[in-house]
Amino acid sequence: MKKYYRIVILAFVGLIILWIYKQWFFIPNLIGGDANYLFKSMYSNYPLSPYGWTWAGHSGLGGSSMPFLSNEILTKLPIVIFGQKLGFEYGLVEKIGMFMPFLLLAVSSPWILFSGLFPKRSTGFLSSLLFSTNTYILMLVGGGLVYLGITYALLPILILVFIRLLQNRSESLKLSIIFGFLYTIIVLIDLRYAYIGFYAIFLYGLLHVLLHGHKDFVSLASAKKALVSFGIPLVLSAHWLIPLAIGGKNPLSDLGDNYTTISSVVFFSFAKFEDTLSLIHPNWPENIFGKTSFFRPEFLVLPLLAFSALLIKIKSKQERVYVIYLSLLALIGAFLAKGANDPFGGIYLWMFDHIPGMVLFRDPTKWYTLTAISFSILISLTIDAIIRWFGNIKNGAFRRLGKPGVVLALIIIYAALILPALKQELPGTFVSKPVPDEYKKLESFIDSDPRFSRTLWLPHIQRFGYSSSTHPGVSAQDLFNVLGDKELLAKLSDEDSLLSLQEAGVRYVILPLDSQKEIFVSDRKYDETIYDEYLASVRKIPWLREVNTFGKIQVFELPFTRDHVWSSDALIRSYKRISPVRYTVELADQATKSTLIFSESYNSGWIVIFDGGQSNSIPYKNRFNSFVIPPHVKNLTIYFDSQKWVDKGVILTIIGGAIFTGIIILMGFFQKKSPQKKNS
Amino acid sequence: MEKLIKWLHLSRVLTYIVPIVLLVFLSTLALSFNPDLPPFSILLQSDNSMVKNFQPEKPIYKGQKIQGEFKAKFDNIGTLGVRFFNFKHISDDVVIFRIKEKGQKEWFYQNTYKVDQFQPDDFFPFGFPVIQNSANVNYIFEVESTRGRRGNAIGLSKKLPTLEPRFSYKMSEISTNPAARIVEFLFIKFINIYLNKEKVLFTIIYLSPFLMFIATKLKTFELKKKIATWMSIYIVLLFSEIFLVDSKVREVHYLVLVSYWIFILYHLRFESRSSFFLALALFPIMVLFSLMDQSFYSEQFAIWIYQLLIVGILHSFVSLKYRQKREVQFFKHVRFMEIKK
Repeated sequence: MKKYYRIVILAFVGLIILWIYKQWFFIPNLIGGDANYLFKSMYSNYPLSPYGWTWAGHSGLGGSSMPFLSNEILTKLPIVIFGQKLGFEYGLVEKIGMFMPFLLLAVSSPWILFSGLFPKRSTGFLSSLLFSTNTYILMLVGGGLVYLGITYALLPILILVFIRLLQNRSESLKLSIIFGFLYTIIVLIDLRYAYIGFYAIFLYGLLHVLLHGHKDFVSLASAKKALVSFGIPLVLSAHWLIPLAIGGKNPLSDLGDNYTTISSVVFFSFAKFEDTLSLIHPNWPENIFGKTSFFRPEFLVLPLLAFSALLIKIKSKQERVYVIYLSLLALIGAFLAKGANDPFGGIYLWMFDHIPGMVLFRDPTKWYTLTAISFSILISLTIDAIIRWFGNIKNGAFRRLGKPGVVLALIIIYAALILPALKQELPGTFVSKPVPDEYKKLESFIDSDPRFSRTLWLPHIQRFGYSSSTHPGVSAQDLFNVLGDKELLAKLSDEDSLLSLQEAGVRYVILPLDSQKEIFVSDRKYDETIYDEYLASVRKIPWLREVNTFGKIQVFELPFTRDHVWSSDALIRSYKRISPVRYTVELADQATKSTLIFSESYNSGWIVIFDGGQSNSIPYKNRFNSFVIPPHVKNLTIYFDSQKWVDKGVILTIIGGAIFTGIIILMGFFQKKSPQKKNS
Repeated sequence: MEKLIKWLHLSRVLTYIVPIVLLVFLSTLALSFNPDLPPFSILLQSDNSMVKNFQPEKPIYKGQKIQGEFKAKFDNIGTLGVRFFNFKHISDDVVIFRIKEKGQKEWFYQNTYKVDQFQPDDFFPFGFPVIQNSANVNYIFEVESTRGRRGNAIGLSKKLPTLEPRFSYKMSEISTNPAARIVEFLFIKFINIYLNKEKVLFTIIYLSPFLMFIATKLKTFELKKKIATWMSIYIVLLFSEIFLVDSKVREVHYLVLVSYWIFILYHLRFESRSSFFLALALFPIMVLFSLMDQSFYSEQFAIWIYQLLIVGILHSFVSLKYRQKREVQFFKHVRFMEIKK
């Protein structure tokens, strides 16, 4: 293509991407799906160092964070740097720390892969458009999972580095280190995408072995490459791998059956085969969980264009291998993303039960990633081939207009497919939402109280709802284990609930303002009468006192709420929260043994350490921890014992990180020296 | 080993043994997976016009009846299969089934059945005492709902045939004139099975690898005719599988027809792009069915596109590795998007 055509088309593609993501460039906060808002006062609850226990677990009653330990560090990094250190508002923190890195990577990463695989072809910019604006990624980041978007966007670069690693012998150490650090970033943000990435590179490795034999793999050089490439992520993951290995159980089992059973996979298999083959997300464009849209046949143009790349007669053997590899990647992605649906749905269920790591994929749509990577490259390749075909036409005008015409035609067709995105109709993070004043006032009100207490949200925590380690927010639906509004209100009105809430340390009961119109809904539409029913019912509860009102936010107070650490037969002089896993308690001297209640969810990992011994946790009312304290014990520490393995892992991670950094510095030093040697 | 192979060739063991083994194996496969194939001694009768006055997929509520009449073709009728539709939910209705000879006042047999055991679009067999001299006799039956209500009822399936009377062939009768009776029974049985077009297609699909094997032995065809014939047969089988065969064991069909396609690729030395051409040609048809809101057929086409792409990709990989020479271009005149690096 001529240079000016190219510039115009590049600008056009850039404008489309910018237009779709335009809300991300303005200051108001973007929340939606799984993304919640953080007030400045909440930043301190997100320390960078990993802990095996989180106050936010089990919906505010505290829970093991072992299943999420792998992503503890990197996902908190933006909050620590831009929030805690630089004091930015959360709207800015999420933009600088998450949204912009995602956007930059999602645009550049497929382009880099395309240029790396097919260096003489000129349509790499189309891969950026397709990769950053397909329905899967728009639904993913629109639903607030922008961190996952970052790992999604890193995968094309990871694949390219791996391919180069296999092909390039001279720069293998440098590439191994790059690969190792890239893979570490993905592992430390989301294990599922690391797993998908592993599948992608494994498939290329397999094709490489089948084509070139296994000689490349069975050598000292390849052992070194593998050691560095996979050693880096392994060592830098010590802080979560060690507790996981020592714990010896599936960490997901802590989260309940919803995460590990076949029935949950069947439930989460929303996408049909036509959807996955056409790269159309089942929730497109409304992005309402569980509401699947009808199949849109116009999306079949994407697989048609992508698989047309298989018809291109390519002279270069290596490029043909890439096309075969990418096509296989698309087909595997499409097959797995449909989960338990036909055809051969049983294969996915079997894999979920038998293949290690597949248990992470109860939601099979994550496998769309492979299809997205593949389609973005293959479609660009097909368009390049059509442009070249136009180049061979003898008619001059047809030839001149044909080349940009093909690209423009693709862009227009694609724009028609993702029209809801262009019309700014996508929900979630694509809609700007300022923080309502009512929630700012509520935050000041709760934060001003230095004593520990929980807040119970009816029916569940609102997106702008304040929640911290001193005042964890608890979802009433989760606490009472009911979903229906009437059942929930009946449970709350029950006389037994008062004692249960007091022992859980609940001081405030909050009826939220549904600013996003997503809580009080009937048939997925906002229904004011539900709010009114809640308000009327809660006002009838005799032991709840209305203490404050912020617009439509109603705050009720419970009498005689228990503290975080309490006892009915011992006098607690004071207690202090040192960290999420360590509390110190000072007791009055007592001649008899006593029982201490610690109102965090029961976990056998909690122990009490005192002079001369320790005591294990015993379940209190099947919900909290309790400890038997011997006579005359005055000072004790409540400690989450599994943390010691996390701490050892952290030390190993730091040492490993230092060693690898040293290697990189030394490598740079020797590389600078070697040309001088040559010259001398 | 070499001696063994030489002997196998010389003695023509392969020439005769292979087709026989293939035929036996595929026939077993066809019989094992053929849908709704009745026990050996049971004869079926299917007639699409037996329930005339009842609209399919219309729920029957309390007190309403499905009534019908049919003429039995054979003796010893003992079961009447009725194809129901359960509206994809389990109902707690209970129906009364009644049957009598036309012209009789009293019902010959009646019984109650819970509808939660009725499968959608499958025959439910209402059994009754065997009537020995049933051939050429008209029977009337009815199915009455006792609890059916809105959202909790069953109806007749729109899939044809709606009724399937079943007759048992008495083996004890064979002893009177064994040879003639066995031949007669086998003939009736064969006709009985293969009057059903679905079963014929089903068997053809299963036996197609055998037919292909026989075809390879015929050397009279020139290449162009061979390609045209084999491709036509394949496409007819593919479309028949999608549109005409309704089966719960589609996976076996996929296996058979994909094997057939691989055989065509191998035998005619087609290039790998042949599979891609065929797969991409099916895309517009898939779009068409999606636009017509025929999601079942569009999904079936998606499955075939997928399978052809997988075969094509593996084929191109094999070609890449072993550099197959003498490949035949699928469409010789199509030189699509050839790029010189």
